[in-house]
Amino acid sequence: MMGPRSDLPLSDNPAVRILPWIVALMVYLATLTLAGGLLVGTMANQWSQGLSGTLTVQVAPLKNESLAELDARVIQATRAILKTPGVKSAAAIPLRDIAVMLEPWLGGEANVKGLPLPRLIDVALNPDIDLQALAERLRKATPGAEIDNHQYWRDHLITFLRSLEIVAAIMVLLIAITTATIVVFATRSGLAVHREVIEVLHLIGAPDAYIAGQFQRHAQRLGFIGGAAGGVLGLATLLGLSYLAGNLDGVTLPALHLWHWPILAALPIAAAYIAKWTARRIVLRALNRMA
Amino acid sequence: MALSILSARRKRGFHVATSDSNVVQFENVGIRYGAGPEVLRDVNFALPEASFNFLTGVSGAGKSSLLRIMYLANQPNRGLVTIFGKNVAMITRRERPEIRRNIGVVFQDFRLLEHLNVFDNVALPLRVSGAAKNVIEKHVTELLTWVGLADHMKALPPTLSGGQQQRVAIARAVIARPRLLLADEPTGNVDDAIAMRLLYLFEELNRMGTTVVIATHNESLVGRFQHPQLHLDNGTVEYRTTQVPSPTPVDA
Repeated sequence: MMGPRSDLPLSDNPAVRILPWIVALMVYLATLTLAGGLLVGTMANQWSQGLSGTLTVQVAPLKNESLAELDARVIQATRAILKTPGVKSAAAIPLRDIAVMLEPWLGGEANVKGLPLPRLIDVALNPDIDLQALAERLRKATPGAEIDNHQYWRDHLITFLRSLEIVAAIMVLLIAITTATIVVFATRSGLAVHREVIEVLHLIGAPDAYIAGQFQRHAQRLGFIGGAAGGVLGLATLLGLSYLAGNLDGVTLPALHLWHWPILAALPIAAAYIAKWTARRIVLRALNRMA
Repeated sequence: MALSILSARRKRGFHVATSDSNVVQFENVGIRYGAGPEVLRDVNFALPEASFNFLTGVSGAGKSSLLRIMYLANQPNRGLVTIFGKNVAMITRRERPEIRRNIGVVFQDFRLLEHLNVFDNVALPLRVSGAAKNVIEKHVTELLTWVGLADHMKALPPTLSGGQQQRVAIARAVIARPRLLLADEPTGNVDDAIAMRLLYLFEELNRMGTTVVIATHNESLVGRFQHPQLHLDNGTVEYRTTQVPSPTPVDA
């Protein structure tokens, strides 16, 4: 590989020649892992802000209430919900559908008739909804109506998503450490292979920083070449996956935000800097020990 | 032909407080390898600023060992050595590069960097000290022309003959106009005409203030110059300041 002029024939070293390939692999893995982490984080944020887009309002039957009275209260509640800003739609679920939902536990529709079943209203929301206001309005309009925003289930889901996010972060960190470790070995091997040239440079009066500069520039270049290749492949994979996800009608998968892409694209640059600073540290330390 | 490295002012910035004007001073120095006997003992001499000295003795007498101490590659086992007034035992790692940049060395085995072409090899000392690109270009081209290697600037050292490699090594040693020039058998691989030309280059540098030490076992060459000799014999150094009359016939 021809590069800028260097006093050391750093490319004549098998351990160094394999470096871009390994960095490419590492950056590819890091790109996918980080994208996964960002997606999961986005999902967790959406859920924790109640922006999942739907909630259910439950209208419980009051004591000795007739079916007609309950129906009236459900209609009242639905109207109140629809008047709240930020609500996209609200529809009471017909008793028949509720009966179907409960069939596995209670048996056929006939058995349900006489039971005091709560009624459900399915509500679709805009992201800017003020849930407090909705709850307030509902409580005033219809006694016994309650918002079920799936709190319990949601809390567990969010905890799980946050854990996934942390695991992704740890994996990216481990990948970075692995990359640095590979650079450590490549640099050490370079120091051993080019020992004589380094000695001549020292005798000519080159300070350690000058010699380290040669190694670090080379490592940075290889890190960037490998990183760019891995990053491009990683981003291509992500684009392919998001294209496939777009083909799934009706399923709303969380998507990467626009600002996530530059973060992912910065990974090759991060790899180049990891390579640079690792090489510099290793060379300076080794030269210092050479006495 | 005038070389601009000879006319250029010496770069400022290297000042060592010296109590005397000796560039190199050895006092009761002994050198041994491992646990063996001392190969050199009781070495005492001083090289004044801007002096021109030959270092003579049969091969194996310890000329290279003495030079290695002077270019800070080895430490004496015993005694005191000062270079530019600094005790070499006290020179720290941090100080070494700057001191070495003031010492030009022609190694006996040249030690050229084989993957760099002739131009880049000679430019190395200037690059290491951060010289400007155009200065490097000018001085290196001039010097290589002067030593007769203008047509080989892009050649890699392994493709050159021994004599050509030697001239590259010399050019690299003098390019930064060092205060102290150490040359180990610098005329060993060239014919007499080129040897004289190279020695003339060393004399020119010396006239500009560089202290020169040339190790050689070529006594006839030494005889043609009126310079003091450090003669290594029987494990110690004899400093011959007064020149014995040249044995060369007058009509030569």
